[in-house]
Amino acid sequence: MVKEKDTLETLAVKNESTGQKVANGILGFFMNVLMLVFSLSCIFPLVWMFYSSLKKKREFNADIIGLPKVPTLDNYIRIMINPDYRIGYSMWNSTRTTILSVLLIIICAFIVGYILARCSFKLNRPLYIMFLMGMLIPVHSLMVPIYIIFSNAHLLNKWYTLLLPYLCFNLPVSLFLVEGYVKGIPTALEEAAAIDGCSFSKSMFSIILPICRPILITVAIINVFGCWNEFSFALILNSQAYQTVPLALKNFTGQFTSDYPKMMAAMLITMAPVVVFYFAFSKQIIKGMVAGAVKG
Amino acid sequence: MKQKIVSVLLSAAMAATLLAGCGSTAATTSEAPAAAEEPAAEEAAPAEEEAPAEEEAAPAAEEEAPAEDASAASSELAYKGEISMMHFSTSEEAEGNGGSDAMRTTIASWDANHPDITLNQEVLANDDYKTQIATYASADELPDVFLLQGMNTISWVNQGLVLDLTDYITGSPYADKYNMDYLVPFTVNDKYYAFPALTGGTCTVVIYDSALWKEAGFDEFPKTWKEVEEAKKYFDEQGIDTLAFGNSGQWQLNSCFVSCLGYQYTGTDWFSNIIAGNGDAAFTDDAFVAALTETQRLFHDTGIFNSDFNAINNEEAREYYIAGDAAAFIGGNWDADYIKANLDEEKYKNTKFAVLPQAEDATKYEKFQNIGLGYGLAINPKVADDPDKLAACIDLVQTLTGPEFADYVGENYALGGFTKADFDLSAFDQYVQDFYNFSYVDNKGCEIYDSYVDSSVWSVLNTEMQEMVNGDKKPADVAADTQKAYEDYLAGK
Repeated sequence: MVKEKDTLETLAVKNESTGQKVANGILGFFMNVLMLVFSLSCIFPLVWMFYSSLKKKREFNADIIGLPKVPTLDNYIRIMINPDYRIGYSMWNSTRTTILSVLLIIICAFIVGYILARCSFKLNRPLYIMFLMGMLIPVHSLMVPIYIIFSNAHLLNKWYTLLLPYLCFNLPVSLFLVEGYVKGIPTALEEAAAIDGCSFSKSMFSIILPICRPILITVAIINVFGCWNEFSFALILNSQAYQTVPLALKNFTGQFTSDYPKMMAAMLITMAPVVVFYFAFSKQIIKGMVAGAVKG
Repeated sequence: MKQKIVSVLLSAAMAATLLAGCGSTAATTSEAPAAAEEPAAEEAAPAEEEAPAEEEAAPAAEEEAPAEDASAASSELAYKGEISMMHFSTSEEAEGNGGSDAMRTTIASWDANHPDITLNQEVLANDDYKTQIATYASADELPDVFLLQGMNTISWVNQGLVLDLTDYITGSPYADKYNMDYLVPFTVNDKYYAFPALTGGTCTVVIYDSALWKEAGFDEFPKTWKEVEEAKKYFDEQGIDTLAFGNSGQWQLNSCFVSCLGYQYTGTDWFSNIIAGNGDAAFTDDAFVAALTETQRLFHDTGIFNSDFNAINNEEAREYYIAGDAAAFIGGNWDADYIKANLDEEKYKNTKFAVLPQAEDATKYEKFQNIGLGYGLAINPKVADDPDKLAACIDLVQTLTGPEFADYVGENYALGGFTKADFDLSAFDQYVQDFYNFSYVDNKGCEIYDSYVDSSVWSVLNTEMQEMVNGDKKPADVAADTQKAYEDYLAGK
């Protein structure tokens, strides 16, 4: 009798666990479908961009979403052989401007952020607030004044023209991040270093800088995208000789018509460095972001 | 390891891409950008050949610039130095756009004929051009020669940013060939401030399939909207739209519809008074409100247009016509060019052009089609400090709007510009001939609204009209808001 009861209980447990398994399976299935849909929605624009770049303008206008009937590399060829589009030169300008700007931003944000976080002096907070106020100024309201200043200072149309506005307008956010991060690092580290005879600058660059790596990588990522995509200053401060990628892409828009397939082909070409950058540094980027999230 | 290999391969690909791109650019940076593109360069040849003939025909250049013959002065300009110029005839714009193609070709020709002058061109896409030139204007740093948009003329003239070119236009060797009507947007107090540039193309044309309309019982396109509404029944049975239109960009309803239909209600004086800002016309006038009301009725109530007209742009809407999903399409000359290049043989033969039909309550109906030159070549007044440079700039703008330009667009595209051209229209096929006659011969030209006044006014009208044709806004309210924007503009002028 007891044995029979045991068997019934075991069966009930078995049934329950089978039911649970089915429920879990269904839930898992729906969760996976949801994630798949989400992933596709993220990937689709890229896929769409790729196959649309293989269409002719007429085919694209007739059916925006459809696959190309006769895929052609014509758009890529025309972009590469037509020097008027200046795609290669724009990529070089963008790459140079972005790398130098981001380096300058990181250096300035770290030094200023460290000083504001660690050194107490009378104007520390007013200075910090002044820096942060930069975040509140709409860029477009400053375009004309900045153009006039640059013009009077003969700083227009130079390879380094864009470095200054990119540094100035991206510094506040970067400074905000670095200052907050440095504040979270115990001062005991520098005190111990000082007891061992370490100078102020040495402890800043040899001890705190490596610890700040995660936040500096975050700052770099934010600013790489910001500088690479920036449009307004690149348009008004530089002539065509120094045009950057976002400006080059606008060449495919006419007064009344736009050649979207060609624009997409150009976008894919110009995305190449960023994709390479990501593949080459993906480990670092993800490590930096995760470390930043945990420690921050 | 695998990832490293991928990284190395991708890096190599990137480097190759960069080098390939830079290589092609580096080879041409020393050349004039306009001359770089193959078709333009090829087509520049006949233009260059014409230059010596003009040289012979013209008398020796005199000291006073207005009397100089542009081409004759080619090798005799005293100025040796740089001229900065800004325009938006990019290589992309020039593809299929006769005006831009001719502009690039003529610039290349002028540049080649003046080796002692360095022409520094800034060529931007139209949108970017407008942003950039407005910034330069704000900073009083305009280039020596630039394209002035008609709607900016009054304010820029008042700010002293544009040189008075009256003497150079009236004294031009080509003055007898100029179409003086095109000067209206560039005229302030009877003085001319720009040479109208590029080509005058219609902004409102009904492009229709005559065979389809014949099947619907119309030998030609209906003369009234009432007839169009009747034809809708037949096209509904066929499962196609009566008319295709795209207004997702908002400007289309203004430039390609109301700017033409409005004249049927207001006549021509009303808009002349709006341009003058003399208080004799207002957007709240009954006639204009009636035009808006009719527009709302046609788009919202009758169902003659494709139902997604506010969600698609003109580029998508014209595909409805090309694919046979609509019996007609309403757009501008740029659409007619595109449709021409993409129709099958049968449909190409059957495609005809018509003006907007007459609205029932319109009292000032004529066969209106809005046409004009929205941009003119203007000169920075600072150039006048150096008479030799000024002479060179005048020579440049006269060439870019003169016979060389006009012949090129006439012979290659059957289009007209500021200077009237003599070319053999019969050399073109029926489609081109019909469109030429529609644009320049058969119909009454009227002004394109947004070539004048100010973008702040049109921005209000365009946005609110989109809501209006959706049925979300009353025409009287749209008119009132536009009038307010117009009064603000007049107050700040």
